[in-house]
Amino acid sequence: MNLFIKESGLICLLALFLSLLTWSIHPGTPSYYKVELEDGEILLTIALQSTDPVIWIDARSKENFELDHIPGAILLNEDNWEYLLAEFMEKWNPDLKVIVYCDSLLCRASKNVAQRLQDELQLNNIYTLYGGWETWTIEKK
Amino acid sequence: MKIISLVLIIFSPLLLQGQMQFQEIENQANYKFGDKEVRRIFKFKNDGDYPVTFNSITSSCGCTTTSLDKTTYLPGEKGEIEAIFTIGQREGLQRKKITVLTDDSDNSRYEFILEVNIPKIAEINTRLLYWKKDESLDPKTITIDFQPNEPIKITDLKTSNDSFNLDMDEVLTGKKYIILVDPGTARNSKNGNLLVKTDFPKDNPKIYFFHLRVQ
Amino acid sequence: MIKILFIVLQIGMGSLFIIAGTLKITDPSNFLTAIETFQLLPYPLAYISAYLLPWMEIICGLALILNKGQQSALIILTALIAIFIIALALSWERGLDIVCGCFGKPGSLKTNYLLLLTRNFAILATLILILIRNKKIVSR
Repeated sequence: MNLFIKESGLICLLALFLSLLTWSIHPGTPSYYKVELEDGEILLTIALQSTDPVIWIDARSKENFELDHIPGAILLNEDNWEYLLAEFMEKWNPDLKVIVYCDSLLCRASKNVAQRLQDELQLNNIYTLYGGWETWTIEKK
Repeated sequence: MKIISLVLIIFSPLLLQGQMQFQEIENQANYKFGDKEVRRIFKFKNDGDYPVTFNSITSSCGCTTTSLDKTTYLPGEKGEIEAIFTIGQREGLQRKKITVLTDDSDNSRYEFILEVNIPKIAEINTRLLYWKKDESLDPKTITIDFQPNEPIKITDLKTSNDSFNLDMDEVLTGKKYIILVDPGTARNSKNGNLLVKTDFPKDNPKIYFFHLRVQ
Repeated sequence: MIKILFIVLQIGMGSLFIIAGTLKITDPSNFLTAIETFQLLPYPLAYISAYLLPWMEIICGLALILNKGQQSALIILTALIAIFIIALALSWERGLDIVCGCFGKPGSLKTNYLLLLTRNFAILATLILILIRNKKIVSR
């Protein structure tokens, strides 16, 4: 019993020390406060392991979309709403989970597009990607 | 005497104040139907004691561009930033934020808001007519309510799938239209687009798309 | 003969935990998200666990391979797996769509609770088996 206490104590101490070390030098340290998601926001990690089929909507500019986008994503922005909406509707079906993204945490385009989809089409399975395109590029590195 | 002047020389930079005075931080713009863009000028003056250089100007949206004559302003110099917001097909209250970073350590960051309300041209009940698997194939309606004061006509009504039967009724002349869409009686999956063309605004008439689907 | 089997099992378990722990510690952000999906720990505890747990796995795994302090390591690992199984059962019962995070990144694993529980029960059984076997050798 004594031996167990000594050995496990050593293991825990070592783990604690290494944890502290890793935490201080690791470039990918998570935030200190809980990521508070707003209504309809979804984390990329959660989205990627979703069991429902997902359709990605890119709410950024056409130029940015053409440079690079999430594979399979459809462009839908407010610059050319009517026409792009029609294109989106062709590809949409009710089983799909719709996730809209724009540049990063700072942009509002994804929320605007998501809101408009909800208002005009009465869709409910709509989310916006927390962290946007930026989070995707980090994740896919 | 010498010591006092030396002290003053050494510490005088701390006494100098920077101050970029901006005329308006929030600028509301007017919009009339048909406008493709909204331009706003934010005037400023360097009210401080030393020159200030603008390091960067960014806007919250790619649809808003900014331009500045030059980047460095001497004390007393005036200048202006022009912001151009390309409306695209946006509707409702738009607030675009422009952030300016300067090299002035006292006030390195300024934010402006360009605000404009884009009234909707039409209030439409839905863009999607969707008959679910177990839903009966009753006709559904699209209601288009034009908001502007002048009369607006629907000039064309087309569908990409002829098996959907259309019937349009001008309930209120130049204002309210109701389109009845009949999916027919055949219980097979199909979909199509509905195109509604109008004559307003004159230089760039609005076209509305609708999607029809039978599951 | 059986001696060799158990040596292989012990080294196998050790390697498993070292690999699992290493995959977790290389991406603490991702692992933290995985822990959060269980909705069992408050954020500060989840945060600490995101770093502590992988290192516990690595160190205990190492102990198994080197055969130094292996009994204590086995007991700790058994406890960890048992706790994880309870956490799995709880989230299954609550109908949560969890992220396993077992091998670091969530990937595109479906929340197949049956598979997860079976796998972890197998690990638990193996650990206990080795534990008992080692005790027997010592007391001989």
